[in-house]
Amino acid sequence: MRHERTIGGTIANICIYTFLSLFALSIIFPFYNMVILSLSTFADAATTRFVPLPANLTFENYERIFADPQILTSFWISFQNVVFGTSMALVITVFTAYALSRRNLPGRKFMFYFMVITMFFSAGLVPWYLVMVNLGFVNNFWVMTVPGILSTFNVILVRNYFMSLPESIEESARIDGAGEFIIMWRIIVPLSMPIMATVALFYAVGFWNSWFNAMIFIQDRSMIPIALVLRRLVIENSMTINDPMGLAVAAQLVHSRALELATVTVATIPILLVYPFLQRYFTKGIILGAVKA
Amino acid sequence: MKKKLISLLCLLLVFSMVSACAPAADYDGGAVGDAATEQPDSGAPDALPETPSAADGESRWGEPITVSVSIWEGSLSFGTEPCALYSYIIERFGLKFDPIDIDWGNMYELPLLWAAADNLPDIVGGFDLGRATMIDWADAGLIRSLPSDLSRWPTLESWMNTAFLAQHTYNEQNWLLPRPDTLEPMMEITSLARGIVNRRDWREQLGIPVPETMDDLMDMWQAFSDNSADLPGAADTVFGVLPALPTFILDGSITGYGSTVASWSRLPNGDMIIPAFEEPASKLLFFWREAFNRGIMDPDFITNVGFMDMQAFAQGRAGTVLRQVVPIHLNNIHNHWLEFQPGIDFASAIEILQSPEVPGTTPVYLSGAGFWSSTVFSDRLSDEVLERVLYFFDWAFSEEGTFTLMFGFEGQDWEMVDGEVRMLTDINPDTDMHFNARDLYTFAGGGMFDLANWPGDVVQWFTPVIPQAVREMAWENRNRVIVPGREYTWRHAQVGAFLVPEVLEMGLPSAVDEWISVLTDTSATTDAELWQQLQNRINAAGYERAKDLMTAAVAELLD
Repeated sequence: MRHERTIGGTIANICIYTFLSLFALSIIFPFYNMVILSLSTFADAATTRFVPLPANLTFENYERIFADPQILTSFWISFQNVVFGTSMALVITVFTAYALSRRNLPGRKFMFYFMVITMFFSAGLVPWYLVMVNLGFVNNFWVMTVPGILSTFNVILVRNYFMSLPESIEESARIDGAGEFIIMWRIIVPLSMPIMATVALFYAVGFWNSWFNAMIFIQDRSMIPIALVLRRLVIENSMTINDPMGLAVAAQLVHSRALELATVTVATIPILLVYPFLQRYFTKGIILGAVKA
Repeated sequence: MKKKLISLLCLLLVFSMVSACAPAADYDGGAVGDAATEQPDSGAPDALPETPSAADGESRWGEPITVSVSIWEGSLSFGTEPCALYSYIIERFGLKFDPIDIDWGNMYELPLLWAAADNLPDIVGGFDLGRATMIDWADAGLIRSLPSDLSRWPTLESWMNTAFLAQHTYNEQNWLLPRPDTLEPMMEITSLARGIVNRRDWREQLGIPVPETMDDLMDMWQAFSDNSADLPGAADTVFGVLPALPTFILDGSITGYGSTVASWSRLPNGDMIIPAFEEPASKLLFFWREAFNRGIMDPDFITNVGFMDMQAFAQGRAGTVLRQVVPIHLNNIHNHWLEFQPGIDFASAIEILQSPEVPGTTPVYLSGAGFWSSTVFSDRLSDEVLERVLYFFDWAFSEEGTFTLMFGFEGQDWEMVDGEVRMLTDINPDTDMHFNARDLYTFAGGGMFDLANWPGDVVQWFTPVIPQAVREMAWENRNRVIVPGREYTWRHAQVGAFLVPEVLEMGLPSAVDEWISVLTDTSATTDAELWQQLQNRINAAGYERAKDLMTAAVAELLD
């Protein structure tokens, strides 16, 4: 079937594409500017707001970053958080979602609403802090992953996706003698790769970017994730020199915007690299998980 | 391919779990640790200075007690093994410290969370507690007061008995130790905190003499702007003057018109006022308005944060910057200068100008003492432990403690020669400067010294870390300001509105905001009309009544 193009339609398309292009540009431009300035010298980055290409290309900022043991240590910590946290979170989310998707599960609705309530109401920061302290999470590596190992939102997405799958597939498997675990692991999960990829992305990005738990509970600098290092860097660079730092630091301190942006770049790129691998699943997964129930 | 990928992920997962379960790697504090690995052997001196225990002829403390302490980036102060300085502290005061980091990223959130959860460390330091929070914590029984008799800790006693700390007492008790910026109580060093850092080379190139009047100052800035193309600098756009922060336009940089400070101040007759809202201050306000309207004042000062003013000045975008003129800050400008204009000698190109005096007006040199942060003690701390802790603080506040924490052991790591610290340590090849205590001892490497005096402010005048030429520039200015026998008109105590809740509730307009709104007014409204409008606004908010309330409250407190 051939669609006739009308003038109105063409104008609408031009407007839509123009708007979307500008919108995309508004997202891409800051990132591009950040990368370019991070490749600039101290003086260039301090004097210019934007340059299409670095006037004096230098990798000095990156050399300094990778010479800093704190940055490298924090990278490794964040990587471990993402790998362990995402893996465990996926497993627990799948188990929870699968159970809640079973129509014959006694108390299914109660359990589901019990979980949903936690999305809207929390006990508050202080009780949460006390629970964490009493569980021994102070200065404990696991505090960065375990408390956030299960997201109710993600459970709902996965549960809805599971419920959207035809029941006949399960029944066939059951006739063939498959138990619940086999059905979940061999039938449901392989059929749910779009939502798995989507939720994995949510978890991975969340663990990579998380800093709050580390800020509250982690004292050992060898366990600080890269997101917290970045936060400190940005805050420190926005302060005046009227701060309680020692003389030796204050006397030699020169704020380098280029170095700051290079650190942000280095911290951003790893998680950005995950997106292309999961992109083909992403849209499909979130739409299906969101609308089917 | 898929199986290989899954296998790889599984491997990473196992490796990650094993790695995470393993004991935390020893972290030696980045640059500090690097320096420490290359440091020369520098143990504690054979003969330690006399300690309370040594003086008693026997071990006074017995087994060391461990106390938790929140300090600025505290974990940097402690290696896996105690350094010689930390060992010295343990032996002398019978104390070990379990540090908890406070830094820019958590300095507000963490202490308030601890307090809410009744889980304060034994010693809470490293951030500005503030009187209101201190009172809340005292009322809640979270912190304990200091002993009323501090005679066993003479350095602390000399501090806590000063009038300016009286405003921080509560229920007639002292609850906090200040982290002051000087060794001597009431030595009002903040008088030096503002100044006119000027391009001497530009002034001389244009044939302009040192400004002696406010008109001279304005004309010089005008000349800088008008001749920007011919003046050396890394940028084309040049303004005459750039205040480092908005508050610097009225908080002591230009002192010729008398006090114009933005906070509550006490007159010699006991009256409390905000000088920036009083008639004499209007002359300075409209001086700035003229500068702004002439276009010789960098409008970016309104949004300046961090290091932006130093970068702009070092680039040559302004002929004058209004900023602190103590060695630390001058050296920061110097360090930025080296990045932008390494070919121009900083010391010969820069001068610190005195604010011109205005006939008929008494200039103001001093603006009052203060402190950067405070330390309080958990209510869980027993009398016995508090006693040890106070001995440590008494030492840390003293000249001996301050210099030890900054430079190491006297006689071994440094010596004082003609009023200047001369380092005896080797040269650090990375910095071409002597190793200092920060390099030699992890205990001095972090924020441990932030608990007592701020050595940064105290020893900045002596330290070789800052180039001598920069320090001399600051010394020259200091000697012009601190003149024996000089009459200081504004020896006042600065106190906050928190003394009187009613004043706090009035929500008086910010003097800085009011000044900015007036000086950036480019309309044809006259100065007199703008001043009247400002007066109307602050009086509508209750300024006159606030003055009466504050005067009465401060009189009751201090007199």
